[in-house]
Amino acid sequence: MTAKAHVLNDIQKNTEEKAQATKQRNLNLVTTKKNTPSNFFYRVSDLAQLSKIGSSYLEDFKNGIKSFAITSTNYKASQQRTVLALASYFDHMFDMKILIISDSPDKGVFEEVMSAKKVEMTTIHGTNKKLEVNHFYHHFDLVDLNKLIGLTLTDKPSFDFEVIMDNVLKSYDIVFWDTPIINTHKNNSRIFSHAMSYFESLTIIVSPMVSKATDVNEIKAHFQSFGVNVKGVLFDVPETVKEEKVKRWANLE
Amino acid sequence: MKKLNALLHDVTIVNFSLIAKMVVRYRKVSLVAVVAVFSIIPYLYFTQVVIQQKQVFFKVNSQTGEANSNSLTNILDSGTQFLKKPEIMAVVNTYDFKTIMAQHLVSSPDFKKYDFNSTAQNVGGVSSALESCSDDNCKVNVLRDTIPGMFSLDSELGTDRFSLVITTRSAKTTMAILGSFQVALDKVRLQNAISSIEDQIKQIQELITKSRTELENTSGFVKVAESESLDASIYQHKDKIKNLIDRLNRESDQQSFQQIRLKESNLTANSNIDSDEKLGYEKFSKTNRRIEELRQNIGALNSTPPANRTPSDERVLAELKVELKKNESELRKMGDLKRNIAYEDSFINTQINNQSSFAFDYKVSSAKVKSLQKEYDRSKKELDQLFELKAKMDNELLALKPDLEYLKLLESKFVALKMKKSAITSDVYFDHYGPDVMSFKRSSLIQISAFSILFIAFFLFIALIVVYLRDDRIYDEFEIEKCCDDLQIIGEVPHFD
Repeated sequence: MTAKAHVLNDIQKNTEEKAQATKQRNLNLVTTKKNTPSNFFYRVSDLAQLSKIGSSYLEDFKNGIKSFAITSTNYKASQQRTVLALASYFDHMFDMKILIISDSPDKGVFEEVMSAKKVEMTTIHGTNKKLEVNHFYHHFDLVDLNKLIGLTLTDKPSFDFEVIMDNVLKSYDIVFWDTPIINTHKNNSRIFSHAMSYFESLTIIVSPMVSKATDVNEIKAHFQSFGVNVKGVLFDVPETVKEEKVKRWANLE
Repeated sequence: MKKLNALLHDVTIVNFSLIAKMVVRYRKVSLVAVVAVFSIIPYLYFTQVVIQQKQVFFKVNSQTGEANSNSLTNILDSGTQFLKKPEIMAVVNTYDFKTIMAQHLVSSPDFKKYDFNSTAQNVGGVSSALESCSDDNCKVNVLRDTIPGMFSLDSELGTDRFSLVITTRSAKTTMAILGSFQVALDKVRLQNAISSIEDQIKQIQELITKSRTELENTSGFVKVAESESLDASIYQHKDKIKNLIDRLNRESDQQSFQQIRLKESNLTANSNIDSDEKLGYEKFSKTNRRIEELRQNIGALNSTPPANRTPSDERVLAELKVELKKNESELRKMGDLKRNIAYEDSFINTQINNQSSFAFDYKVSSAKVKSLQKEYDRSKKELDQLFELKAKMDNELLALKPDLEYLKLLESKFVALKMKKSAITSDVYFDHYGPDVMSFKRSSLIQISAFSILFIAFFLFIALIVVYLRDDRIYDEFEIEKCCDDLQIIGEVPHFD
């Protein structure tokens, strides 16, 4: 039995236990395989690691948090991988509506999602605005942050924007934000700052040997100044480094 | 500050696990340190100077004391003393001593072959300084400051000996410095000793002068002279009396002899000899003369060999022998009496002739004895008077005796010091045997390796800390915990195949 299959078994064994602990969120756990499962979940190279971080987010979700933002100093690909993996985890484990909001949905790992998208112009209830929603089968939806912000037509927050955001968030069980890099935040502080008020939890991606402590602290301070709760950090260990470590230990054995 | 705190540990003070991480993390710095260690060890070891060292033991018997000690004490107590380390160090550090050493080295014919550079480093500071000198004075000045660094002195524990250790860069230089040290120490010690003795002589001269003045003021010398004059007079008188006694005894004997001779001469002159005794004496003389003649004739005939003798010769010889026997027989019958009577007759006649002369001699001897007796009595009286004077003088000199004895001692010491000065030699004794010149490097390979590793490890430690403090990058969860407060480590970013 491979490590991946072992983890999957463990996850399924714990399903019933988790059902007792998720009363407050009314989660509908997946009891049968979906007709067309998302292959992104199975493509995650370390499912144990995904299970570990997924459990952490699940705990927060159980505690009432549904809007999770992922940011970094300048690692967009890592941000997108994290968002996609977490979305796949929740999609695989639970029957819930998942939204991904990204400032660059056509790049990186989202490119593959966007290639299989089904675009729908959704009318926002209570407004005459229409939002472009990209459906990735029945797994999760993906919205372009820039287009979402573009609905305000100004660089300042407006009531319409708040209505749009409230309606969007109400339409989904869980939302993952692939935030712009910190400099973009700073350069467009007024509109992005307003969007930040919808972040309930922020995760910072740190690249070992590259990210600087001052940058991490700067991000942390920046988001905390807007009342965002900083959940923690995720290490972006390059695959090559991980493989080297595995080989090194294997040689020693 | 957060990073600095991260370097500290509650138990071990320094967070060694973090240091170990840093060694791996900053590989380039660590690699430079390792390369530095492997470069610096052979460099430090093989560029060391090979040291040539020799140890010699010596001792210094100070019989005259040091120049700085009390000379008067030295005069009174001239026993052997051994110099202590501070004293010998004071000698060795004098300007004179160093100058003598330097001069001795400069005057050596092998001077150019010597290497006076420091053993501590590979630079030729002294050599270049000597090469730039144009005259010997300059070289002496350079060496005077350099030489003291090339030897060390120490006292051997529990003994009166000193250990001299000479350390240079060449065996020849080591031996040359040893030689110059011996010469300089001998010379300085000799000068010190002479100077010390001269000081003592000067002081003793002053004491003698002072003592003499005191004795002159108390007429001590006059009394001594008078005493000595009395002694001489007494001696003369004693001698004279002894001569007088001898002469008196001799003359008394002579007088007795003269008296007896005169008496006997008178008795002899009054005695007579009868005519028969006179005739017998004449016959005795005649027979004696005939025997002599016969013996001469028999001897002449016997000188002719019997073969050459004629019958008449044989007959004459036989007659002569018969006659000789006859005369000898007659002479034996006369005996000795005849001969004494003859002598007495002659003697009586002589005594009669000398009787007046003997009487005169007796008178002269008697006069001589009388005169000698008189002179003897006078001399005896004078001697008694001299003894009385001498006794008085001795009583007076008794009070001056300590001063006189003191002066006498000073004078004898003065003479002894003069002799000592003329015969003084160095009091330094170097051991004849000792270890040969040893060749070695100051630090062994192990020492240099240990030192280099510790040194580089320390600097690596400092360098790692500096680099760490200046490095703001995040490497692991520990960094997040220490640098970014309250941030939870969730896990790793997922990857897709």
